[in-house]
Amino acid sequence: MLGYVLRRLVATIPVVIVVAVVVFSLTRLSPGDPAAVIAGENATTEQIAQIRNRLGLDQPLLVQFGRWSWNIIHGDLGVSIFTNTPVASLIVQRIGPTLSLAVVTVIFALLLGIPAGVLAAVFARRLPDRMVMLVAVAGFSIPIFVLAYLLILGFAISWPLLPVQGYAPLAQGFLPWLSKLILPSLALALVYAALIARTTRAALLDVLAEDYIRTAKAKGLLPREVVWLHALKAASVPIVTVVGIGIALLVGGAVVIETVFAIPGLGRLTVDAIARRDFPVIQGVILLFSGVYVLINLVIDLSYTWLDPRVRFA
Amino acid sequence: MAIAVPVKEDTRPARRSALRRHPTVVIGLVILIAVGLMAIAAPWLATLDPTALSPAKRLRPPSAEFWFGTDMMGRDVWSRTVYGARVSVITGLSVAALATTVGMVLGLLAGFDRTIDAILMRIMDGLMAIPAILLAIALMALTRASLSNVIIAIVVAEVPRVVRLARGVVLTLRDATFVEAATASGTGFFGLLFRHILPNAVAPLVVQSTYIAASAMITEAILSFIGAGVPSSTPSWGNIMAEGRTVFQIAPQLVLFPGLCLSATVLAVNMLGDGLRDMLDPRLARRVK
Amino acid sequence: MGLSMRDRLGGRCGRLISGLAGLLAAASLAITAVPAAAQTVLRFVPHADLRSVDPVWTTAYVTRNHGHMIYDQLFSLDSKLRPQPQMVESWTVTPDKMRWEFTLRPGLNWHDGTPVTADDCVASIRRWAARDVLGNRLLASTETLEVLDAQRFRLTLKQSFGQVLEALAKPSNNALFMMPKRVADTDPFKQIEETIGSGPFKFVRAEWVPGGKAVYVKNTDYKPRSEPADFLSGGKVVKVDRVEWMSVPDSAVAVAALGAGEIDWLEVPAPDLVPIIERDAAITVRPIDTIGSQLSIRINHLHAPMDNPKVRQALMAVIGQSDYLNAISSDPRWVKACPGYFGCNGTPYESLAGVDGNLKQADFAKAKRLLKEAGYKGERVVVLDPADVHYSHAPALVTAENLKKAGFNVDLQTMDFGTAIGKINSQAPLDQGGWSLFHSYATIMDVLTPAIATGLRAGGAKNAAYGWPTDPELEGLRTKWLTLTDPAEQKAYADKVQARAFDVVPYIVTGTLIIPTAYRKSVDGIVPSGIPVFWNLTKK
Repeated sequence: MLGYVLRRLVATIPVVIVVAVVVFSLTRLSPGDPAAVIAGENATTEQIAQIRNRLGLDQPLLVQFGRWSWNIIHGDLGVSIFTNTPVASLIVQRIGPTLSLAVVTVIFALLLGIPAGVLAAVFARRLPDRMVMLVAVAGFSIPIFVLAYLLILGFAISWPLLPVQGYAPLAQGFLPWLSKLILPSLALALVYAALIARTTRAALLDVLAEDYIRTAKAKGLLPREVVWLHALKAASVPIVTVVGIGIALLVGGAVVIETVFAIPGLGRLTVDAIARRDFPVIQGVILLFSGVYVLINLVIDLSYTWLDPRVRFA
Repeated sequence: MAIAVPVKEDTRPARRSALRRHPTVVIGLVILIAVGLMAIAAPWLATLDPTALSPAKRLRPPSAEFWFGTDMMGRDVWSRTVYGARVSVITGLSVAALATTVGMVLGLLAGFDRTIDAILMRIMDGLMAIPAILLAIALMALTRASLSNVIIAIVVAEVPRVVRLARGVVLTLRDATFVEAATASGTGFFGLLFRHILPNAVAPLVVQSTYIAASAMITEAILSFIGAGVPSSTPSWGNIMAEGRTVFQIAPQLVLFPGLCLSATVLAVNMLGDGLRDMLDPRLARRVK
Repeated sequence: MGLSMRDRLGGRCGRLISGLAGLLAAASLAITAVPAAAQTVLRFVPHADLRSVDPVWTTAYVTRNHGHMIYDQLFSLDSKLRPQPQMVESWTVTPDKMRWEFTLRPGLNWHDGTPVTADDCVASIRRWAARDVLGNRLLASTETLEVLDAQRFRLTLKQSFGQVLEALAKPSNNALFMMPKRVADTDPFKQIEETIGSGPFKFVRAEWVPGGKAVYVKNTDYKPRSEPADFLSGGKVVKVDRVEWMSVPDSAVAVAALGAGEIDWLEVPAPDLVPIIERDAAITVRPIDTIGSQLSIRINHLHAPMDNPKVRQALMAVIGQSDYLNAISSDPRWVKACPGYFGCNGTPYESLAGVDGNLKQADFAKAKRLLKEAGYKGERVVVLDPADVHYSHAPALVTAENLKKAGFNVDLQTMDFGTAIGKINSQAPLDQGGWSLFHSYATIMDVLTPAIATGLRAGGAKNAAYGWPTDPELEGLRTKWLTLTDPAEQKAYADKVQARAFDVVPYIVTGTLIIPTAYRKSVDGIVPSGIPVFWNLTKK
């Protein structure tokens, strides 16, 4: 087991290198110039050149890349050009909101998706199944920002139940924290719940057809217990897979949702940084996202063995 | 971006009419044909020039002159929506075609050659680890906004998943008995490729490409929302909504009409994909991931 | 077996969740201190997010506004745009206006409790002058700038300079703020590290989320002047305990948040959403910035066809200001025609010199005739279109459409603002990613005089702002203007500058934008000013 984990960890190194190279070249090939953004519209070319010089942006790209990678290896993500703040502390400031959003979204998605999937599987090919599946496909088909506006219009303006926007850290109390996260998480969770509902349904149907379930039925256990105890356990493997895929999805959605709901999270940090060409921030955050993605996938692979004894380490 | 991940369906053989057997395919096709016709007939359906500005007539509600009202620049929303079908259709089709072709070629290469496989898959893993939306935004920052650049950006973000799928198919087939038999009987590389591998790879790739088409249309809209989409001189459902979103309280038509069109189209593509998957190969869902 | 599996799952999930919750709590504790209940907290949504805290290093308006919170100025402008003493107690000037002596008010302290000295002020002036156009000219005309004692410093000019107090009172890009000497000694091309000023508010650095939230608390040690607050001048008496600047990037959501009372003051509501806000009896909508902003088309003079004055004249012929204003807002209260280069509505150098019917209405016949005279051969005109900035995007579409009608070969390039601003600073030819036209806007405080209106600088590729107009005559008039000290002469020469500008078209003004602000009725006493300031106001 330990050997497997180590091998997998080593295998992530080339992935991270690829990400680093891709992200670095993307930012440096782009026509925008942070020095120009800083200097504003009325600066002379000479002033801009001076700013570029102070930022070290006039050095050869290879030198810049070398210096950046050297610092990364030493745990230093660099300093944001615009805010003059270490990228690491920007990330620490913003990880709370994004993590909160992600956790509440996953909880909502599971709460909505799994029962819907079970319902659909139990009533396979009958009306409840058709309805659930239609809603699930529709879930993929609405752009997330449209959904977000509809939720705000419905539950914060027309019927002012919940806050329109903003984020309250958990330190200000559980209720303020949750109340501000409900609408954004719901908007994000729908796509995700649709995904989980489809997976749950399919996995359950698969499992229900297997021998040991039939045996359980024959032993006289009630169908409901059969479904919940045996089937869901086996179905957990594909569900976990979907959660893994969903992480990437969540990041894309978070960019939009954080913008609409004014949540100061990592998604907005990245989009802002791209718009201003704050190279160290773009590089640091995307590297972080990729690292998290790789790690989560590792954890998911490991969890297969734990959830399903039939899976062995490769 | 894997918005739609197909999953296994139960598969009881049914002998009914096409509509009864595959209602989703039929409904999906009907909607898609309608959207296709709208795209082709846009010049005749549109009542006004979709790019003509008339600042004096901005944000008018729907009326006899402006069926869907006007936007912030006084452009006719109905005409823009009709022309917007073109962008969505072109984006969906070309991203699906390009991503599938490129992904298939790379995937086949990776499936056949261990060295290429090792290098290519590390690059693909890396690209996949970058959130697709962020990758597309960064790519858009590289270049000026245009439909073709949006398509390229989405293709780059989608390719890694196709490569994985195609490679997986090749790897499974390579060890399959019938392929081993063919190799033993002296079938050459290309014979193997065209006679055995490709026909078996087509079904999962076609299904995957429908999901790519659906997700590409949504991604186009999200890119517009972020401000990295198709320029508004080429109306698209995404950029009509993105430009109109700030005024959704006073001019809901700007988000409503293109939003409905987009959702219906994506819904149709997804339904078609689900149906195709059931039709082509009930078991292939195992490989589509 | 099923049961044990469930137990294991439950146990691990539980641990995972409590672990996550712990992490969340730690992350949120790090950035928050809950304000005490009795405090009055004003929640404000600025037009942009505070990303940099150095008002010399960057020209972002939001950073300038941050400067007015935590720093103080030697002089500040009153509502007639005249410099009034702020940190300065008194000053003397020789009759030839060549030697100035300034004495600071007693009792001025930095936020760390140490006293403000003349030494600090001189260092602050020097750092600012390295980056500001007017400051640059001032120091170039200066013989010595010396500290006399802790309270006094002296400025001795070597050549006549008509804008000494105007420079010291400069309210906007770049505004002159006083910083402690150790901070002001920072390389002007590098960002300052400290956020210590002597102004009416203190910056709470620990709560700053760059691009998300900025927090200020009342500086209880601040000694305001006794005069009433007037524009930026007068007594800065703070009547709230805490001001929070919050970022709400989506303008529709910001308006909804104001309606729901989640915020108290929205600096710039989208003009199209004003009707919704006005329906709400709990909200006041009014312009507090009556001077407004100047909308303009900046022209790149380095490349054909725009290097030809006749072609630029043709460009001017297709500009009707009403087209641009309509594209920005349908409400005439927020957009006003204003052909002059130095602002309208009673600005000191407001003028119609050289206007001569220009900019009223697009005249395509005239444009075509001028293009013919210019020998225009269909060279490409690259119009940059930053789609994410409404005040640049909408005008770009109008220009592209009108230019096409006049027979120009237009290449409308849509991009994000980050790309656009990188491009406008590039002198590259058009086929190497260069540009011809860019739509900009600036507060009229930044274009009040021939000296500070940087778009009029006409020293060519080396000595002008982006666009790089070259016209020795215009440049000569501007230089001459700076030396004038007689008001009548200043006005006459400002007119000459404007008349010359209409001939050579360094850039084109497309109108004035009066952006209204919106705040809840619980807020009272907002000081009308071109810059949102937080003294004098109260919140119930």
